Amino acid sequence: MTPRWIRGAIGVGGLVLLVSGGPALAQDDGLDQATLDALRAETPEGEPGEDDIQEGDDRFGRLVAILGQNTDVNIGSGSELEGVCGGYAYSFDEDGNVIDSAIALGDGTPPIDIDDGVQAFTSANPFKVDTRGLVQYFGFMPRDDVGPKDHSWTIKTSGISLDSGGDPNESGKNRNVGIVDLAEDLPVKFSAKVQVSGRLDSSNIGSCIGEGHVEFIGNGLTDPVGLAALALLGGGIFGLLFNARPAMTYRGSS
Amino acid sequence: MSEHTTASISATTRPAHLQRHPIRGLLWGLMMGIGLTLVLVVTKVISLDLTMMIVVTAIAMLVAVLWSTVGPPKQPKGPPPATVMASTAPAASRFDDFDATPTDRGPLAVGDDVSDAADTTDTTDGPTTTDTTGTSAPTDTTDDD
Repeated sequence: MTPRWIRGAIGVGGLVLLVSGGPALAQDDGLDQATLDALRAETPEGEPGEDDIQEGDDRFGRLVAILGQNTDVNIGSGSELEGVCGGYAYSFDEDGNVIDSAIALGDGTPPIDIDDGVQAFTSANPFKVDTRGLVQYFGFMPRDDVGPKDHSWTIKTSGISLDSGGDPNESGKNRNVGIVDLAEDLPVKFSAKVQVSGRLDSSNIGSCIGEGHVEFIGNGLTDPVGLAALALLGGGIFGLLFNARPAMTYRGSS
Repeated sequence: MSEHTTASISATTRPAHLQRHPIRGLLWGLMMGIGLTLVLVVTKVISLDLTMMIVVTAIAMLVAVLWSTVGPPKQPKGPPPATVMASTAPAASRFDDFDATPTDRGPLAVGDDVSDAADTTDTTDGPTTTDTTGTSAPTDTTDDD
């Protein structure tokens, strides 16, 4: 069972990891084709599954090595990541196809879109997740030292807390891998773009703070939320046309 | 021929007036605004941002209130209601012996003392006639006194 703090750190870390942004490797026009091809070769194949920690760490190391050869830095806006945290995430649709991926190096630079090499988690390039799919992630804080102890974390959108938690983490665990099964975790399917922020504060290694944009991909107006929205809109317009319109009347006059 | 006064009767048409529904507009606007906001969010025209969602809903409510107050009015569905009959009280009779107190006496029959017939009056519709022979006749048949 994955400790809650680690899930938080990935939410913050995978959020923070993924959601934040780093100047490091993102260029205005993305990475060169050879680098992109090398990054794409690291994409998990076959049925999406959960890496073990060593596998995740190895994959992260290879991605860093590939990106390290192309470190023209361009600090973008719209996503950011501060702190000694990083990681990667691959998003799969319900058919198991990769629809988006991102990596945060953990050096304070914004996350990078592995698929096209530009800054990830921005409003123009949000991290796409399928509400019927899943996200495979690996996150750390920090990569080569004792993890955050006596920490607390929170994830927010529009100033409203989505989740929060904390843990003493006396063992000093500093990384985790896992899968977020959105098909199971989101009982109501919807489509939306969301700006999310998160932070993890610890007593020994400071904070990891991230912010970025996530796009939930659903079936739009045919999802339950979309149908409810159409019903409300139609009902409101109907009421305005036939119940709230000014009227000439004989009643009540004298 | 005696002289008597009839009631003044006039007919007036109740005028139509404009009725507005700002509260209804506000409530329907809230419903429309929430629906519109969700549609815009689901279609990704706007992000799932609380401030933006409130702004869109508020604008929709404002438009709805304006519609319900200054929008083009519906015309009445039917004709005006029945005319209103306004009547004035009849002028008092000039005859001193005119007794307007209603009685339960029925119509006069042939041979009745017509001097008593003056008691038979209708106070609701003004001066009436007393029928002594089956035909209308003025009530001033007691003027022999």
